[in-house]
Amino acid sequence: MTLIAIGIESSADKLGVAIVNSDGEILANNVKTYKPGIGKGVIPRDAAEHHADNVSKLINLGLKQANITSADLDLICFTQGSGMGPCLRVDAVAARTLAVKLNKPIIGVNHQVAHVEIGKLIGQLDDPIALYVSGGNSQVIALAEGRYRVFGETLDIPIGNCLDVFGREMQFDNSEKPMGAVVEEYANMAKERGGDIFHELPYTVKGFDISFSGLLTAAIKLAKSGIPVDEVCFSLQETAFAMLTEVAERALAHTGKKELLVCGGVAANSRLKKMLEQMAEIHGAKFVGLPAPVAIDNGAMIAWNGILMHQAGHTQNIEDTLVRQRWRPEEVELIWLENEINNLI
Amino acid sequence: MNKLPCLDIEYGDTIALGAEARTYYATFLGYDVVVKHRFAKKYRAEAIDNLLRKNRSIQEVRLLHLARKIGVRVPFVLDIDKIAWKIIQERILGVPLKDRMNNVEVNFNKVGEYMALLHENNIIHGDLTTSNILLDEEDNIWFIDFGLGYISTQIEDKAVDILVLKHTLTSSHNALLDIAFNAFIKGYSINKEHKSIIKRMEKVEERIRYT
Repeated sequence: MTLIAIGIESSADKLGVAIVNSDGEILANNVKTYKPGIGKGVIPRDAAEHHADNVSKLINLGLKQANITSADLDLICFTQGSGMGPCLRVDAVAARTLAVKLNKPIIGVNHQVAHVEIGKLIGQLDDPIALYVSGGNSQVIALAEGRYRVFGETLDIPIGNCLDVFGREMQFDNSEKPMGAVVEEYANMAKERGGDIFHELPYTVKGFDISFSGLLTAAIKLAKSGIPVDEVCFSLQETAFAMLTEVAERALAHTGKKELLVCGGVAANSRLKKMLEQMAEIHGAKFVGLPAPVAIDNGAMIAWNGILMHQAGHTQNIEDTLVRQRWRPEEVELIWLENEINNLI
Repeated sequence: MNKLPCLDIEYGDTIALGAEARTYYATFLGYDVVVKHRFAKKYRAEAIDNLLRKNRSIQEVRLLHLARKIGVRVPFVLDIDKIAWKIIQERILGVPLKDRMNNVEVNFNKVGEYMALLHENNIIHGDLTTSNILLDEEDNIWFIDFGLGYISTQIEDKAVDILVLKHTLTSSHNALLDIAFNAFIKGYSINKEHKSIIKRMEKVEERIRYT
């Protein structure tokens, strides 16, 4: 029998609600983003307010697009962690309300694990190295010894945050699109006018780990020294993405895996995708860059991972749905992957 | 060191296609050697690629030389090709530690002792994974791949160096994490600064987890 699940995600600046069935079909997948205003960063409390104001609207829209009523839902899935506390509480409260009202099972999903699982579904992958790059995370995640383990990650700020802060310092207008996209446009402008002159910036790779804070400071300094800002964007992108590609490459070489997935908001960047694709080719690995609606924070990944958990026998009491701001992917027991894990051992 | 491409290399089988380089078996002036070739990576900007290949090759040779001088087992460098960026080094008959995770307590204790020695001499390995530590037939520990290494007196740099190893143990050998890492710490404690370095490592760990 086909199950229908709703997935609610609001761990950071995006609110996502999706309807997915157990055949892996996405029936609705809507995202609304909180905008902090030009020159400002995300304020968790304000973002949570935005999510709370919009969550019922998005739930109703999703049900309408999927052409079902709330009574047709079999599963209520929500992001339990990790993320910003006030934001997470919105999806948790919405899910609890639905679950109690409809008397349907509730499932709390881990955000990072869900990113990998939706990537496996859409990209038709079995066992990828996942490069998860967003405003809140920069991690290399892969299945090892029965868990999704973080092989490498940023030692200070995430890549999305690095691009955001740089753009804010440059007073770029990101009201229409994400800051990463704005920086990419400037970098492309430099290329078109022949200004793709590379300025050396700190390149920091330590094992599988990376660091962006020195790069950020140097890039801001470079721009303030009078170098055209599009040239700085070009150099910043080339340096940051080469670092990310290198740690993904290290993980591929170390584990011998043959699949590479990129997910998270920064995965929308075409230069990063191109680099990863060329790198994967060297190692004979299949590369998948997800389409934006399932690469960014979204409800579909939460609903899908919830379905996988439910089908593997996971049950959860409403008392066990407190949000977990610092829930690491390696803490998640992968009950739906038991066969794969046993085959690996 | 010459500026010309190395001569007289007879190439054998590829050992591994790593992230940094391709390594081959070869013979060089009659010796059995390993050639480590940092070939050009088309995916990144040429300027970055050239800089990385040059800096890492030179740094690696420099650090291999220094490590050898203080009594840490590392491959002997016979030559460097500064055009194609190839390092011609002694062939070590050993296996990566990741493929020989028995006798963990003894081996990681030794790894700790050697790392203490490297750090006391301000040598940061930079990529301390179980792929980059070899075990030979007499159970001697060898260190390879110093391409991400550098010289530093900073506590933070030494702390992060150890954290890289801990991360690898956590992700790739989780069942053996405690026993291996405790043995490492025990061996590492011969470093006078070990207390403040380990303390700093724990601080960096917290910082990563809670950002």
